[in-house]
Amino acid sequence: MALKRLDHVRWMLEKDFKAGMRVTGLIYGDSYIIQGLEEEGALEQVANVACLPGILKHSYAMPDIHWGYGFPIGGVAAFSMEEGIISPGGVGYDISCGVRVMLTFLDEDEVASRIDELAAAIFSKVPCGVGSKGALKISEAELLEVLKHGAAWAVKKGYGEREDLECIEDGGKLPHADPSAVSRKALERGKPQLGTLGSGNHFLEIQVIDEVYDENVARQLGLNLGQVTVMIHCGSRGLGHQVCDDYIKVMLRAMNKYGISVPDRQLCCAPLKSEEAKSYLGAMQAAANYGLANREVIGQLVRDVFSRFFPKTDLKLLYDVSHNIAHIEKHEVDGKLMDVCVHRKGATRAFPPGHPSLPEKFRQVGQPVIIPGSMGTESYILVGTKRGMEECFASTCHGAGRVMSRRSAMKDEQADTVLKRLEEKGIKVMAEQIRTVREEIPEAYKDVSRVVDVVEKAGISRKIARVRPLAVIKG
Amino acid sequence: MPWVELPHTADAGLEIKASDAESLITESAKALYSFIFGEFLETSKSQSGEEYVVELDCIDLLELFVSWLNELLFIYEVKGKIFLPENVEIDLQGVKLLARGTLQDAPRPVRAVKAVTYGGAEIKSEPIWKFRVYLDL
Repeated sequence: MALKRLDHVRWMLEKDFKAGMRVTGLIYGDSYIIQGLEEEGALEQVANVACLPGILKHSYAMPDIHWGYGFPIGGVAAFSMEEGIISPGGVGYDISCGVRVMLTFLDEDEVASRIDELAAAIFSKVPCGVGSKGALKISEAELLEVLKHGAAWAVKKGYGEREDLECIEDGGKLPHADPSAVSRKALERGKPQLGTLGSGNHFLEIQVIDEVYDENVARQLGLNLGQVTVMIHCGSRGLGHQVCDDYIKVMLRAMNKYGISVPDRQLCCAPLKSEEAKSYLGAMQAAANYGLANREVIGQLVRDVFSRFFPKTDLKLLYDVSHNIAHIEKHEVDGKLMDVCVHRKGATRAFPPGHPSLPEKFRQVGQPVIIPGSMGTESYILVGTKRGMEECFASTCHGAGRVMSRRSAMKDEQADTVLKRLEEKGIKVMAEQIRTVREEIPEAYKDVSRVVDVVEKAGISRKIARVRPLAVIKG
Repeated sequence: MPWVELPHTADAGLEIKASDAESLITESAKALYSFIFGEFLETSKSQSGEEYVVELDCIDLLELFVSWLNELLFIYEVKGKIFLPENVEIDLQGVKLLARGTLQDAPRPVRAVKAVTYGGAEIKSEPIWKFRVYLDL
């Protein structure tokens, strides 16, 4: 056993696990989650991240950890601005892949009787599936504005409401986005795709709040038992993929220039003080703005459909947060407050109550964190904590985390009956391709409730409410 | 079949074999297209299509092979076409690729590939040419 158990939900990966590790690995999980990790490549990836220059404290893995490429999924690592690096592989291809929750003022009974036609209308309004093109036709000049202004662009164009912006991480706009650092190829990929959901594990769900764990905080966030919500999970589409690919090439050359070696080429990187890093940060923030605008546009498309069915209701944004991103943030390290570059790859920022970056409405309760479950299972709304801020750079999990390959899921006998089983649970499923539904069977993922219980027991975030799906829309 | 799919928890891998570097480029394209479209139809070669050229200049062979597949993804996403290489030249010393061929209409995809990654990627030339690569799905 390579891991040393620290307590019931914390495990240490010692530096002698792999030559070159500069810090230890800290993995959050119970015995169910830790079981099987060693056979997978994920532990090796935690160790590889620990080898990167300028890494601070630990190479972290959240309980939804699984084998990724470069960083593990669920990986978090913070780097010193002086000696540290930035790595496109620590952010991933789907830059600003993230999730939002919108609150209706409807209860389950009002929606349940019309769920089939409502889901069908959203499915027809929101483009989804492989290679889907957006409902918006934008010029290249407008695309550059999207990259600069993020969700604020969408609001300005009528795709969203002004009050949404304070409920989006970074106010819906990363401030140092540099569209000139984004390649022509990335622009070509992004131009037709704004307002599209994509495929794979991306989804849109109509849900209902079926459990409240902290009534006081729930009330402050506007969450009520039986209330219908909408969850949207998607990212920056082909534009983000191309930015990552472009900058991996840049970083491969930069590593030669700066004499950096890494155990896995996908971890290629450049010193944070270098021109290459500045250029990547500008391009990554531009791609993140595209992701934020994409979810804002889709949110408006959903509002349009709801208003046709329920003219007297409006959808209010609870929160929108990215879980594939790098941020420059202030954290305390060895008793000193300093700027660090936090990479979260399949992990969510979770600022605690009182954090100065939070808008007034979340200052008392902490930043909302949205943890989607697997298809047909519950999802959770949490908030950040002081302990998470101090221990793991204000980070928590991002979802359930896969345990079964897509190929195995397709072959699993459960796949044949997945639609019937979900229907029996009262969940309407609409998908562009049935294959996606089979690949995403709930059995292919960890139990999200156990994953969320781990982060709560560890004290790095706190459960506020649980939602269960009424309808699922997939690419 | 000169390629096999490799298991991965969230994504998928491909391992492709060929007798020389040029054939490995062609077989890699077939493997990627087979993965995305279910089956790669050789018959599509008989259609006439727009002539197209892909040129790459890389730092090593691994970058060349990964970049090649990413270029095919780009062509498919932006043009809705698949690129069928008919003449492939590789300068192993200078690590350059020149592939000439035609663009053909793409069939309906069965799977989406976001990107071709370097994670766990490997290229070998002995005893035969072999390329292992993982796809971000």
